[in-house]
Amino acid sequence: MLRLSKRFPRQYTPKHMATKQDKRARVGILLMLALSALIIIAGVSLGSTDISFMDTVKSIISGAFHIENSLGVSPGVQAIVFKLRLPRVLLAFLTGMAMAMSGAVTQSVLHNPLASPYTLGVSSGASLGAAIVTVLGITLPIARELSLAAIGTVFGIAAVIVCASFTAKVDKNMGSATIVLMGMVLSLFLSAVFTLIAGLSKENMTMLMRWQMGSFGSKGFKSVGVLAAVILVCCTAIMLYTRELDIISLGDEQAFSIGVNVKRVKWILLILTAVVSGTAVSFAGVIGFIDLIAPHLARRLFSPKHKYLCPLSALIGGCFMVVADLVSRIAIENTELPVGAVTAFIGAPFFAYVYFAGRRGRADAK
Amino acid sequence: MLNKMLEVENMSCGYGGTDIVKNISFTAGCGEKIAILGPNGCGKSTVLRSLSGIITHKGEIRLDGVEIGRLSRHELSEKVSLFSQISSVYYSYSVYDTVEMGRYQINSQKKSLSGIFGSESDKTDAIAVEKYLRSMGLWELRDRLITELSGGQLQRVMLARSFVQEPKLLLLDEPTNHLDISHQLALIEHLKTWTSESDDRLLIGVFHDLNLVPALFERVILINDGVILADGRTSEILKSDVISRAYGADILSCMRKNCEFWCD
Repeated sequence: MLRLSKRFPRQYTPKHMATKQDKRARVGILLMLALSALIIIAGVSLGSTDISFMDTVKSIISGAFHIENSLGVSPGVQAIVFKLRLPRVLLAFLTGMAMAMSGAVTQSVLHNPLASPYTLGVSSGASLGAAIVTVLGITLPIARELSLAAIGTVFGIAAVIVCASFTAKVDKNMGSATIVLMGMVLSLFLSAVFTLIAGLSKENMTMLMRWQMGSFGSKGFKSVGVLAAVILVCCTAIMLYTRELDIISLGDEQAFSIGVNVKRVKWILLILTAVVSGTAVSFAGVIGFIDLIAPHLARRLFSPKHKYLCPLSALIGGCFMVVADLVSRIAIENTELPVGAVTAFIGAPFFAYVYFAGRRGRADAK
Repeated sequence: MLNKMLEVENMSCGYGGTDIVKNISFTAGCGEKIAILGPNGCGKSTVLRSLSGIITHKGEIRLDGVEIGRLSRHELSEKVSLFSQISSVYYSYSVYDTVEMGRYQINSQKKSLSGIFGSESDKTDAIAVEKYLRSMGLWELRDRLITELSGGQLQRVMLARSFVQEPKLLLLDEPTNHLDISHQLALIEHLKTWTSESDDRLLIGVFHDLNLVPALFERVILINDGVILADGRTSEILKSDVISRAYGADILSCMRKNCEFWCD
């Protein structure tokens, strides 16, 4: 003991306490921030008419600060960049962030690497809400053109709350397996109601199916603003629970013994993820896969500690979504592919490569 | 017994309305080392879980004179730590980070968003983490990922995590599982020093390996079917036929045969 205490004062500055994983994660955050900026600019530049990177940056700056002469970019180009492409790309990025971060949280809270907000009924709830709005033609007074998104969000959140409260009734400790099962039962049930509504109202069927496939087109800065605000608030709140998330992800009983109020933290986090993912789904449709793969990539490439994992997953998810949206726009000329299909189409092989190649390498090294 | 750190009075507990542990009472003082023994399914782990507050109980469990049901989660975890088996690990935290999680109730007040580029833990945390990492023989493994550890290594990580919590009452549910014989003996030595380091510590453990019990525990509580069959000094209980009755096997002659083999 004597030998130890002598060395402590010199050795233990916070810098020394950081493990290798921590250092890699901190570098990772900076790298991903740079990559995100690059991908957003690329996403705006590329498309049916290609715009040079310089012009894109100039248009964004002149648009954002209301500069009169647009810094020498032609008004047509400026309009394409600022009115059409930028909101679309930003919406894609934000949706990717929302899905990835809520995926990371659900996987940890439920100790299940396959869980996602969809497991809890968010998507089927939001879809059902959207179907009801479409079929009945409801328009809310304040939300107006965002009525569908607003009601979808409410239904998505409601689905998760119903799921969590039923679980709490059956299982006092809110066991993860019970939550997952309850969520699946609820999802299937809500999907069945959605299918029934879609099937019975033939004139709306194509529209509903298209909505479910997901798209970032024809939405303005209003949607971007709402989604950005929701993400900012909820993600900040989630970041306050990163230590609890670390501890809970290794088991409820152990977390309880360490002093985490497991039940309360679970409720708070499930509702926060429901709000984030429910809003994203309602704006962009049911886009799968990102919620599953972005957190896994962030864990594998950087760190499983949630103070790094949450922001890193969000950035990876955002970048990935912008790329997927770009591919869906430019893969086939004059046709827009459903972005939900594109995410899985490029995501699955990419994920398999990174995940299993990394695993094999590690096994060989032993 | 000079003081009564832990008093259990007519305590019953169980899952889903059925009581597995029925109406048990015992008291324990500081510095004691108690083994809870009994056959599979008799309610040993259930007792530990109710003592740690994970499951609710009927009757009274008083810790330093206060009913544990009245303590908040935070207050309780400052006093009690339960070590239990971890079934599976999906997420690859480093050994150091995993053990450091045990400091949560000590430094959880410091909540900040600036945590990404700093750390919530301070020098005292780092000293405690290093101390128990070393005593569990994990210091060299501190940068390894817990998903890559063997069962015994993971067991030691989780034990270290219970120790850094610095509890007064340490509850161990089969801590020697997965450990090889040298680590079993090291753990027993460590537990001895742990109880003697400070005079307000109490250790209660559930063990399956009766061979290890006399080396550490002075007192044994024998449970069968949720009731206490016997409570007394280790030397008396392990050699009586109560223990054979509880386990339904002739333990004494079994042990003697063992002895003959080793003593030859």
